[in-house]
Amino acid sequence: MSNFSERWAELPDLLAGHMRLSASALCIGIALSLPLGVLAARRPKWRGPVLGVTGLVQTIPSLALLALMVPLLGGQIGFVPALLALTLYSMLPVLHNTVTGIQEVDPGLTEAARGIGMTPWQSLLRVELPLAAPVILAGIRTASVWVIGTATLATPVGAQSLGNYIFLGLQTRNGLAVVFGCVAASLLAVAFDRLIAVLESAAKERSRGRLTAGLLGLALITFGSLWPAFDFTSSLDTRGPALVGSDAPKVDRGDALASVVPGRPITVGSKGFTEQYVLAELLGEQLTAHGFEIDNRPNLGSTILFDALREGTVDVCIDYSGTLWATILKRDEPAPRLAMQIEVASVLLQEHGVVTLGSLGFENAYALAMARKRAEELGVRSLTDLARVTSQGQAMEIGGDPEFFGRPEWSRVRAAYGLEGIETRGMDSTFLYGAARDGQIDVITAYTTDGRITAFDLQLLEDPDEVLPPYDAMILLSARAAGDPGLVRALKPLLNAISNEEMRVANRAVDLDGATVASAAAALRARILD
Amino acid sequence: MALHLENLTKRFGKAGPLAVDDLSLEIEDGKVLVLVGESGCGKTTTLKMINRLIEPSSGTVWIGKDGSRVDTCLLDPVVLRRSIGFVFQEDGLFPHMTVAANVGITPSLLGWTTDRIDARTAELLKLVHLDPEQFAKRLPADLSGGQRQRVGFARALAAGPSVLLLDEPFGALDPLTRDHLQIEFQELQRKLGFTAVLVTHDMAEALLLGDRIAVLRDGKIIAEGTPRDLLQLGPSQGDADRAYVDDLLATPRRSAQRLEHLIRSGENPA
Repeated sequence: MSNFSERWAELPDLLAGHMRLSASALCIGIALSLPLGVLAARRPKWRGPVLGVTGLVQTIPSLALLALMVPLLGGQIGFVPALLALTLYSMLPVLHNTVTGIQEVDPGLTEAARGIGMTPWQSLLRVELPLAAPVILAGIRTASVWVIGTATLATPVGAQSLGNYIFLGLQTRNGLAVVFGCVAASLLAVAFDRLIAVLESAAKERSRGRLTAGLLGLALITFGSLWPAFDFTSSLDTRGPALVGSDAPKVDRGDALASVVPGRPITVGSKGFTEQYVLAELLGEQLTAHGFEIDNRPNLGSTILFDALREGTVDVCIDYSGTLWATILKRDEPAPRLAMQIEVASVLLQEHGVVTLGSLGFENAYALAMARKRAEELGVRSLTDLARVTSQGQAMEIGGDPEFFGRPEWSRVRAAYGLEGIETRGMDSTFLYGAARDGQIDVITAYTTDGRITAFDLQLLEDPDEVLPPYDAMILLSARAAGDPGLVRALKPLLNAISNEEMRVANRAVDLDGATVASAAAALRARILD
Repeated sequence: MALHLENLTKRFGKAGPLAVDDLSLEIEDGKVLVLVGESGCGKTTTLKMINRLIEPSSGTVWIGKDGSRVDTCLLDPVVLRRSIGFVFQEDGLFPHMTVAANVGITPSLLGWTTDRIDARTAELLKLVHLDPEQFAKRLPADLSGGQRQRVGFARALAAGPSVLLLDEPFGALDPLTRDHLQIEFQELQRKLGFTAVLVTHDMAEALLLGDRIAVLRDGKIIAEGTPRDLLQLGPSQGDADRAYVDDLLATPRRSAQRLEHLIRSGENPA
């Protein structure tokens, strides 16, 4: 129940974010599509290209379109890229129906309009658009349902929406949050669908009463959901009223070194999995306790997050040395743990202006894991043992996230230990641990800090040759944040404070024991700062 | 206003057939000219070239009175059309506007005040025998065919035009309604004195309503004159055009002869 009430408390802000995004995208989309549609209906030469281009946009998967906007906008995350993608997405149905609606107007009536002396403009406004209105409204109805549904996918590019529930729920295996997000977004879409259908029938039957009722309903639902956004003391924050606005704890700013740019909150970015949520919460609490205002941007895609950090739209985040080594430095040769950290830190600073504050102390690396019972039966403790068993003719299958099998470290592990005979099966990381526990798969790729390793009694296989690369969790700062001594001082106590086991306990609390991210982060913070 | 069509030609597309072929015609001020012929003979095209709904390929339409006439292609087509009433074949009423809004549309395009438009609309509805109280707020879909065409007439007359163009205005009506509206049209024309060009394929209608009649065939005028002139044309003597006019006249002639016979033989024709 406490879980439900927490979800409920977040609703006003997320709903406001969702509505702000959807309503703006729809308004801009309609404002662009109507004139374009009229033009395309009047000029057959324009029709093909205009409908073709918008149709092409529609074929791009919505998630990809959203993610593409971030690099196209030079690394900007949040409202603007999401708005742009959704606007493009809303255009086809409106455009298509405007063209069809105008073309379907009886040519006898357009001739009559000309015949009694209307200019083309008067004919459009007084005859063609009113007669095409029901068809155009049907297009707007389709667009609004699409946009409200697709807006849930804006979470990974850093825009607040009801999708935050869904992504958080999927990553932390919180079914209630997923259902909550889906139901909320669906209700919103259905409400828009029904209200615009009322406008449609009003246009068909020239009913002023129904027109007023429909418009009133739309205005009510739009401004009703936007209400929290009008409250200028609050910021759009995922954590709900508890940390929002004037109630936010105002801790002493005695050190007088808080934010260099007063008024602008510190943006904490994170990727979309449990550990990142917990760490973002930890960073947020630590900064709040030192008098900073926090803006949370959870669920960002990995490269989106780094781009945002480089552009300064995100100020603080946690990333892993091995990930940065491969994706930002584009290096694939192995390197010792400390050497990699130093190399990564220097390249990030020199080439990207991103400051590495230091590492948190734990490593969220790839490791291979087996159910303990099965490992003991086979006498497997290390990758060397695994290779021996495989070469003796034991059929073994390894499951892992598809990304891992494409990485150079997998080919190196395979070559170094002689694991060529092992079968691989790609699957979502969510299901891996349970599959290993239940004996559905022999070996899995695991993250060393995942709470399920201890909970499911899995054994991590040793890597005696140190072939798997290190993944030290590091605090990264934007140039602006790094220039703020108060912020640096606030975060210093977190450096080298979290062990693998501490992180595993926190992850496990969220993933398996149903604790909220906030409570797991608070517990972790209490333990490490004692 | 008198109209003078001079060597009017219309070809649709670059190599299409001639819809109207070097047609010349005088229409005197305050008279009714009927263009009669089968569908595809070019009568509607000719009509629409008068208010430039269709632009002529060559030739001129002059409009004016007593020597001060003007070439219509020098006028703004929008201004020209607002000064000429047009009655459409299928009434052409805008289905999303009330009867009053349809009737008042040309005055509103001309920028009249609302009060003046309202007064004019009521006056016109009375003129076409529709009670403004009862009909002003209705939509065209709620009216009968005859009522709709009455509204169509009222709309065409709204701005007090001195020229009225009518494209088969009675074609879609049942015989009794057509009869009533033809009589009302004649009354209106005599009362208001506008010049009218009316297109029809019905020779009986042409004989009934026209001061002059022009018979069109393949884009050309093959006979022109008063109804009396046409009825007094001699036998065709192998002339194909003359034979065609005879064919068109055959049906009304037979009706007239039958009536005459019935009256002479002392029986009651009604």
